[in-house]
Amino acid sequence: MALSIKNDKVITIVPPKKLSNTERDKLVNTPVNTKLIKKATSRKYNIV
Amino acid sequence: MIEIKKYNSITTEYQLFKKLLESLELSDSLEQKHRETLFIKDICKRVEKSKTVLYVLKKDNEKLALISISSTSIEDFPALQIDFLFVSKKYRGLVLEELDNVKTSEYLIELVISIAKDIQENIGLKYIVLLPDNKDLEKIYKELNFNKLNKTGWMFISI
Repeated sequence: MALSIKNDKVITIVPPKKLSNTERDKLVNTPVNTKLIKKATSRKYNIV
Repeated sequence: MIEIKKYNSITTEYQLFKKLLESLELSDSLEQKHRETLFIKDICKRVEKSKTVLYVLKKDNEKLALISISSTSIEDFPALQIDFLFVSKKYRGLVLEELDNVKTSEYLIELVISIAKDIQENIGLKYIVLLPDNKDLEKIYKELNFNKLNKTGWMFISI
C-alpha cells in the first residue's frame, strides 16, 4: 500500500525518487521470478 | 462463479463506498475497522478522479476482496503501484478451490502481475511496488514474493 493514515486522514506516500547505490543494485539485480509470472499470466481472469 | 468487477472513473457507481462497506467484513478491532473504512472511502474517491483503478473480487455475487492499482515510478523506472489490498475478514488466510487453490490475496497479486505484464508489453513497465501498512503485512507480502527495498518499507517485484 502506498497510503497511510495521519491525524485521521489518508495520505499518499510516493516511492523513493532517489535511491542509494545499494538500493539501486538491489532493485536492478533482483531476478524476475519467471515461475510466478508464468503462473499469474497463464490463468484466465473473469474481469467485467 | 468467480468474477472480478473493475471500477475506474467511467465505470464507478453512485455511493460505491457505501456499497463496499455494506458487503465486506471489516476487522473486529475498532481501530483497524476505522482505518479500513478510511482507506476504502479514500480509494473510492481516487477511482472517481482517475487516480487508481479498483478491482473487486466476487464469488457468486459475494464480495471477497479488493485491490486498487495505479501508475508510478521508482527512481526513473516505470512501476505499477498497489495502492490498497483488502480481504474480507472471513476469507483472510483461506485457500479457495474456486481460486485455483490459492489464497484470496495471492490471487489478487497474481491478477496484478498479469495486468502488469500486459502494460509492460504495450508501454513499458519494470516493477510492481507497494508500501505495507504495518510489519505484519510486510511478512505476508514477503510470502507473496515481494522483496524489501530498504528501511522505508517499500517492497517490489521485478517483472
